[in-house]
Amino acid sequence: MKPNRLRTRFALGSALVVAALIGAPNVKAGPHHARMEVGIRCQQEYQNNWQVDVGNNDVWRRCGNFNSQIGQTDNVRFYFNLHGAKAPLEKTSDGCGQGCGGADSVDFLYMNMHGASNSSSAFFDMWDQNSRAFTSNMRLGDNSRQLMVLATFGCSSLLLSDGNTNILNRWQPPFSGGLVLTAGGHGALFSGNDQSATEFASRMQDGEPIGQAWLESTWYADNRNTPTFMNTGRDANDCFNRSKVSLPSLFGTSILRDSAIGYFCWASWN
Amino acid sequence: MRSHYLAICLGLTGCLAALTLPLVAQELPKLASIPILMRQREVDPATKLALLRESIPAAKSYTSEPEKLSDRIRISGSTWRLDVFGDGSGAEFADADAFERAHSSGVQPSQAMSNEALEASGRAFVERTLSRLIVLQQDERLVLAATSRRTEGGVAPGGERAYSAVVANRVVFSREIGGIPVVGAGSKVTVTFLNDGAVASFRYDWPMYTRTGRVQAMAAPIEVLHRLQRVSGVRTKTEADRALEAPPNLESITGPIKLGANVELQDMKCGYYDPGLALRDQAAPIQAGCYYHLLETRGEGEYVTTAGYSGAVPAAASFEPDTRWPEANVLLGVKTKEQEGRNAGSSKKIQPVTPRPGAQDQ
Repeated sequence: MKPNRLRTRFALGSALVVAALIGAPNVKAGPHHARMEVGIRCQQEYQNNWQVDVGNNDVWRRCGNFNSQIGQTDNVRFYFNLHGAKAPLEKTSDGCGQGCGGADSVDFLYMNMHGASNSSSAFFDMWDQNSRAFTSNMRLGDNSRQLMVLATFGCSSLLLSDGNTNILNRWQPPFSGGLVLTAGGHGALFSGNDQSATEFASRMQDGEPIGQAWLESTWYADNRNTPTFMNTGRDANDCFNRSKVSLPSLFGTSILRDSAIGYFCWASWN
Repeated sequence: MRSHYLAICLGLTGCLAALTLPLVAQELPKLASIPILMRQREVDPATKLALLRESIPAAKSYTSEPEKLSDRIRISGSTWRLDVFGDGSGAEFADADAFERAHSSGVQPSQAMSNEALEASGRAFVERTLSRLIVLQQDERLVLAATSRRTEGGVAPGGERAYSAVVANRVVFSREIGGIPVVGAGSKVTVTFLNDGAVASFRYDWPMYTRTGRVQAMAAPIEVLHRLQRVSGVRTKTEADRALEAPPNLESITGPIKLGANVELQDMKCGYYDPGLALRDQAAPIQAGCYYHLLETRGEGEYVTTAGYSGAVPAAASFEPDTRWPEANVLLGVKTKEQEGRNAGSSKKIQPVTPRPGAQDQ
């Protein structure tokens, strides 16, 4: 075999998984932050297999990892599946409380399920056949505990490629309630490396900005992942400043609702 | 930019490094077998940390003892941190100051660092700063594996003041051993640059490999695709049984492959499979494997959902057990424990929640 000859013949088209290094809790090192109320809602398998079960227990493991890690510094008030969860995620019933897993009943909501977007809404697939929670039906952060951060490990909920009008159609409604930041993917997020959830929580506990923690942990888990986060500001400068919100600064972040929102901004790895 | 065409190398027929050329069918020398490797356990993470500290200007003056955390040792300043993971074969440096500057140093996408400039900067950094950590043996090579850009965007609620910029650039290098790449998270070095050339972070997982003396014969290319169909079917509890034409070699495939009605192989890269420090069984050997990305779609019209899943299938005709390799377990018929699902919240448990201290009503 002559490696030097071969080197010129092949493309390295596939992306790589890059250095998934972090495996264990790491809470000792982080700066102090006020304890958050945290909710977790995840779904591995779906009623009548109407959506794909990605296998390997990946979803349960990922959410379990997030639960274990964030639970060391914050109050995990619920870890539920997504059976009948459309109403508690949409404005119909998002303030129903922690016992029913309402989105607005916690400061920080982490979810793992299938997601997608169309021109008018991003949506998350529920366990129930043909049931989806739509961002266009959400108004997050306006009642109960007033949700501040929504992190969703699901594909394409933060789709960016179809124009700003559609981006606003999808995300202006949930942010209008005062939501501070959401994290997701502008394209595929591959199941397979569930350590990303441990690392996400661990990085936040280290004081890294929440958005940065999401981008790094998700991209390093598989560099074909397309991690993205989005937040709001009074204007563009304020928006990019607020994109650095971290757990220590979260509760001190002012809430912007409705007409107080002057700008939407986002960041991603491609 | 990330390539989207299929890059499959099988039979380890030189699934090698070239970086920008699409795959073409050619007569290639084939490897019938490869040696099985072991990841050599490092013994002294503190020494690795000391080597790194000497090379990083921000860390050079740090004199305190490293902080010992459960999976790493750490030194840090007010705006940076340096972690050495596990046995010392992996590390990460992150400069928060640099990331803080990223937005202000953003450029139009057309003005972002070219891939060539990014590779050159990355190689220079590895040579200058990491040369005592990223050690190459005689038959090993550092090869470009991927590049990525961190982009920012924004828009006012009425659609005005749209903004888009590239704020950081990332390059990933991998290792070839005797012309065979290492796939998976092991043997990777990632360096992130701002547009002004400043290094915002680096991260690596770079073990030493030793030969076990054992050799494994390679599976036929069609057998690997069949394994992928089987793994996909078991994983997703659906059929991925589309009849596949046996390719002369997998390098001849230049586009995505349908494995089932809704299942498509996006890409696959074969070589020595090292899943990386966090995911691997320390005692398991490094064997031939093919890293894959699959997409499976459901739904119609406005409601199409795509599921992405990735992993690696064994590429040796006969492979050794590895308890932390899910695909190997599936193919060997090893049952793994299903995790318990969760309960749903109860709609009967409607109750008020204590407001967050300082929460505003606006």
